Amino acid sequence: MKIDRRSFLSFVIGGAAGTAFTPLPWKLTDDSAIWTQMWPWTPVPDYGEVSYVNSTCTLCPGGCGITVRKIEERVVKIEGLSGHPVNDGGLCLLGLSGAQLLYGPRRVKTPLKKVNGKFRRISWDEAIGELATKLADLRAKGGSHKVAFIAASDQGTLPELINRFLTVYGSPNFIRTPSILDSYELTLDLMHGVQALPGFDIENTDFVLSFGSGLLDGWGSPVHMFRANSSWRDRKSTVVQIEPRLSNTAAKSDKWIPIKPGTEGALALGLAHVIIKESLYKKDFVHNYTIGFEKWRRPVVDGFSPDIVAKITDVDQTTITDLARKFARASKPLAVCGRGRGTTPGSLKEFMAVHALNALVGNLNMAGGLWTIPDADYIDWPELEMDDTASTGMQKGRIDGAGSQNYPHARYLFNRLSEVINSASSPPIDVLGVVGSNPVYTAPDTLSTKEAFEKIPLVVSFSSYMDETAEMADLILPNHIYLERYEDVPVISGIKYPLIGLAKPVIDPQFNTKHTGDVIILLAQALGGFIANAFPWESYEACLEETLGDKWETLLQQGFWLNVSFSPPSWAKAFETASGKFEFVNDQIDALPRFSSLKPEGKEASFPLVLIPYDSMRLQREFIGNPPFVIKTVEDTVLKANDVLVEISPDTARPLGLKEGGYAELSTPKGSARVKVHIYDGIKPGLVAIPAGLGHTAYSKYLAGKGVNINSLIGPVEDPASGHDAAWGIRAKLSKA
Amino acid sequence: MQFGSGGYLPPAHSTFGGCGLPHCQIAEKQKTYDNGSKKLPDPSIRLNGVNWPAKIEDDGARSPIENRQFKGVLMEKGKAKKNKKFGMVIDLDKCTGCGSCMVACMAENNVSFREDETDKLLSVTWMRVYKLTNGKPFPDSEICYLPRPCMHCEADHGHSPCVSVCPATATDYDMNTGIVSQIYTRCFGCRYCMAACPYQVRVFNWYDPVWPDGMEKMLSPNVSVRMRGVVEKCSFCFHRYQLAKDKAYYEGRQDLEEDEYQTACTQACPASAITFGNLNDPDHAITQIVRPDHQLGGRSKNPRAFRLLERLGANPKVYYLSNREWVRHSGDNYRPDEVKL
Amino acid sequence: MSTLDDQANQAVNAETSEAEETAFQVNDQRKGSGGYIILFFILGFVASLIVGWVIFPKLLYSQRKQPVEFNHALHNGEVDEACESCHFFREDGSYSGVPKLAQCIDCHEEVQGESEAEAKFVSEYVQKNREVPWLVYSRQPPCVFFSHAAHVKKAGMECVECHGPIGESESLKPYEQNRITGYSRDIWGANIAGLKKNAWDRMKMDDCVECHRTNNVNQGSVQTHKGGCFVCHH
Repeated sequence: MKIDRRSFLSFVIGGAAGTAFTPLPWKLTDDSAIWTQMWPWTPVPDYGEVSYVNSTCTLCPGGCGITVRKIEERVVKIEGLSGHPVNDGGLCLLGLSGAQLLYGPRRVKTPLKKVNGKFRRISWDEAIGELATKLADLRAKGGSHKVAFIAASDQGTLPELINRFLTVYGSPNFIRTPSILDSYELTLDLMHGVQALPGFDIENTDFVLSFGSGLLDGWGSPVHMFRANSSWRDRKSTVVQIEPRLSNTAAKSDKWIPIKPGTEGALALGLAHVIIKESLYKKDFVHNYTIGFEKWRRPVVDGFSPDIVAKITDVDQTTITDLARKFARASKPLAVCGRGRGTTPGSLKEFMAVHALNALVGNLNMAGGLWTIPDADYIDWPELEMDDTASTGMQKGRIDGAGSQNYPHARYLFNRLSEVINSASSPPIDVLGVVGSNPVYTAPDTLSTKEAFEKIPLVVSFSSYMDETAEMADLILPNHIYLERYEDVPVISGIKYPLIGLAKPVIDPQFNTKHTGDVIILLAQALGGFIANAFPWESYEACLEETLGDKWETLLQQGFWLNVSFSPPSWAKAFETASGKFEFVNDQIDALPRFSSLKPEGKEASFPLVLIPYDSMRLQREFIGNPPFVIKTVEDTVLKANDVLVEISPDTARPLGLKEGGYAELSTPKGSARVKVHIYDGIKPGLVAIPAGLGHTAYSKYLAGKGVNINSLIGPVEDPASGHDAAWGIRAKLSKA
Repeated sequence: MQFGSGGYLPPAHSTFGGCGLPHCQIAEKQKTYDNGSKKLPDPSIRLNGVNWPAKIEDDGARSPIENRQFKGVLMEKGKAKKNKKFGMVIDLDKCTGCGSCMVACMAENNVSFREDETDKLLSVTWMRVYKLTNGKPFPDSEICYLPRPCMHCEADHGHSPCVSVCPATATDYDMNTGIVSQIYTRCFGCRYCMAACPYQVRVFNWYDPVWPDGMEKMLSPNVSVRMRGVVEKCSFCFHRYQLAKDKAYYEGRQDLEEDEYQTACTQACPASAITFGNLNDPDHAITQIVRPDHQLGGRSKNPRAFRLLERLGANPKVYYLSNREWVRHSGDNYRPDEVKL
Repeated sequence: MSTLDDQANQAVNAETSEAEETAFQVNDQRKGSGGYIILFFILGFVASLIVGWVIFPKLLYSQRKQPVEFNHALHNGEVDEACESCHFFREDGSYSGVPKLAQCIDCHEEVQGESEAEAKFVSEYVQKNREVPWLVYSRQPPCVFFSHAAHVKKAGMECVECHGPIGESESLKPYEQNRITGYSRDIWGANIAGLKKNAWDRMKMDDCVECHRTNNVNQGSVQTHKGGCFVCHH
């Protein structure tokens, strides 16, 4: 028997025929089909028990309640908490993408120390030990006042702990990042004589007059404002939006009044003129509960007639008169101000002009009006015992000049910080702590801010993320993120009740981070003496529980504590000025410079256009940068690849030869940038609008390097009345590139 | 009436074929557009003197094909069970364009993201908010936002544009819920459905999804993670329906309350602009708002309401509300001589 | 598979051309090798049958032992609510599946009895508080949504109808994983030909569809005129 070719072929044919009678071909076909359905590298999330943990979102001051969906020990989704007084189930896009911050690529995973320009991992003991040694040395040398802390809020136990630490250590330099709260607080202080927060009874108002406030672009508590807007639609309330650009707020309003930017205060006084002239003001309130009306009305009547105001503001006379009448005749009118999201304090005189409108229509502390909400008062810690070093340090003036002769009313002047540091011969700050804020990105004039930060010998960042400030820091002591920690959040964003939210850990810390409150307590203990004595708590959690007292259980169970029975004091009791009345003018107000519209920085000859920033819910411009989901929602008329699009009107574009999507060079007295152009009918000719919140250099690749940071093109403009930053724009030039 | 450059909807004349079955009138309906009428054509006017759809679901009369195929589902324990028809109505006067619905959807449905998402043709988004403008110059210009999920077109007895063309049976219209499904493991990525969809709701995965640095921990097991090479789209959060039913079954109930099944976007919308529910249940808020006229292919009786490309006859189940006439008119492609605004 | 097919095709082609050639040749050559040809055919046939039925299944599946030996029958005698004692429904209607360590600890905090597996379980998992990495025979692909509540609570089906009499088993069979798909052998079924005698022998989509059709459940699809895809997929 020999195996020839034919036998072999026969064998093969037999094999093939046999194979057809086995499951092999059919099974392999099926299996390979299944294999192609799911590539091995596509992640397959595990099933598990679903649980929900209620907490409070602290990503913005809005104070929304959240409920976090977990699968076993994974955070899968964050949703709005139904029944919460702020957001009742709704949630903004940033809150919804919180899980991306938790698991995000740019978390700081362990304490870091910069050595020769590079970060090196160190242990918590080393980090706290090093910082304590540095602080002790500085204090021994009598330099305790050269320590400063920047934080986003001055209310709640964490800011209070920091403040207490600074005080007992011997430094007055606790600095709050700026916002319209600065101007509102000052307005209430000067006109009502109270230290209070503004609360807006927006649910009940039937006529909203907004002087450029981005009511639907992130102003106040964003979700609360969206809900209010829906209730205005249902109740057929009127919303009038005064701003130069057709923003989302303007688009949703019943009437959009495009105004020459920066002249909003003049328009407010123009409206006051009509209301006074036509005797439309609430006489009961003005005659019985105010003082200085006669003195105040004279310049208003003389200097702000509709024809004059029309020239200043570019709003025609009939519109002004009409608007004044409608506002005054509405049953529950409310005037609000603070541009955009309210990140810039703005002109104090403008706030006072707008607030005077509220007084004229008598809506103060009334339904649908503006309420004064007392600051949270639950923090009642034992009196501080201080040594001489501390007392001496505290007597040195604040580094930002707040409270000094030049700036008697301001409490914090963050905007002056760079200037003070950069102009000093030796660094006025030796140690700067940065908590819950990102000043290197958010402060106007990025270049000079960076310069100032470089001059500070030791910058300590407590950020959970590698943001711009953390990148510049010498030491990073990463805080847990809000989903991993306890924190009380007194809501300061315009809710009309005293409200405290509680953020609580919904998941174990993912990395080697530590609660900043605990770090402060450990630092104090390391420094010993009176400083250690001022912090008798063994941990932040213990401190919080003790501080909140009987509210603790409610907060744990419900997630928030609300004083529902709160009603603002009646007119007879509301004002704590010297006269006990609402003061249109008083000695302090008289001492302020007269009202005039603030001019933007730069010369018209070389910068013929005016650049204004605009805010959008889809772009976060403060401490938290856009997570991937949020940057994904940004329209391609705002950001295209890495280029930001600036908005100009067709009339502005034509003479410059600019076309939709074309490149242009945008320059201001502060800097220049390459941008693309979006031709937009909804913007006043002569203006260039740029979205705020882009141009990050830090955070992940999903955000860094996209667009331009508005703060690199604009600088602060000091409000002559308050010293706060009142810049609303800057002169600019746009040329084809 | 133009869609902002943030995106566009294709003209009504983009065609899709019928399924070829005798009862399918989709192909023939194409002829109704250019009837030369100066008046806004009434969507109810249909070919051959027959009102479309010829049969409606609610009155108990069912087309022959339904009688043949779906008799079973209608009967349960001897009791007539009505099919559900889930739909959505979005109040554009309340919508502020904030984008919460988009992110709620992404977080709920494991939607992937990439470094650059500014090329919107490549960007995977189930819910997309379009910006409409009235096209008028300053200061008369107006804008309006329009969130666009999948329309879950019923068309003619479930022959939705996309369902009709899918060669893989990867997308399907479910008569029990009125939801157009998309089965990713079944899809082989030919993208016929994307060409057929008049609303651009379908997106193709050109890239493998990548979750950086442990971010895959936030993936939900209730929605399949999609791989490169398949088409995906909004499912009306169908998994929420499944989970809600599980709970109901566990508690011994056969049916769901209205609030038990809500989509992620509906739940998240801070303005409460979205209402979701069963269009076949007269007690549901959506039915009371929309008041669908089943004689006219589900057209709304609410004068504030409109649907996108109504005249196409795709019979979408997503309705929009607006007081503004120009907004209502931007929902369809009218010749300049048809509408004067 | 493709290689084998290709070979077969080639062989067929070759045979055809051979046939044309041989038509011109003398007959006695055929006589000489005819028997061998059939013999080789049979050899090839039998060899491939052995490969396909015996060797292929062994190659296709990898076998793994469960981390801990488990006796279902023994446990079933101890508990009150049969399968649902350990494989229970959560309050949200979801199904807990294979028990977590926390449930086992309720009884097994200390070593019970004298079995080796028990001792290993307590020392390796209970004391170290480590979840047991059970290998789940009936795990479906991730695109499948299977509602236990719908089948058990609503339709009133018994566990055994899909899972078979596993509750009576005294030991765990090895877990066999398909090397191509990565899924458990129990989905295709123990029978490599895909044949089944009992309802629980297979867990392929066809089996789901068959039952749904017979019982007229969720037959609302427009495309297939039978089961809607979204019923079981997500």
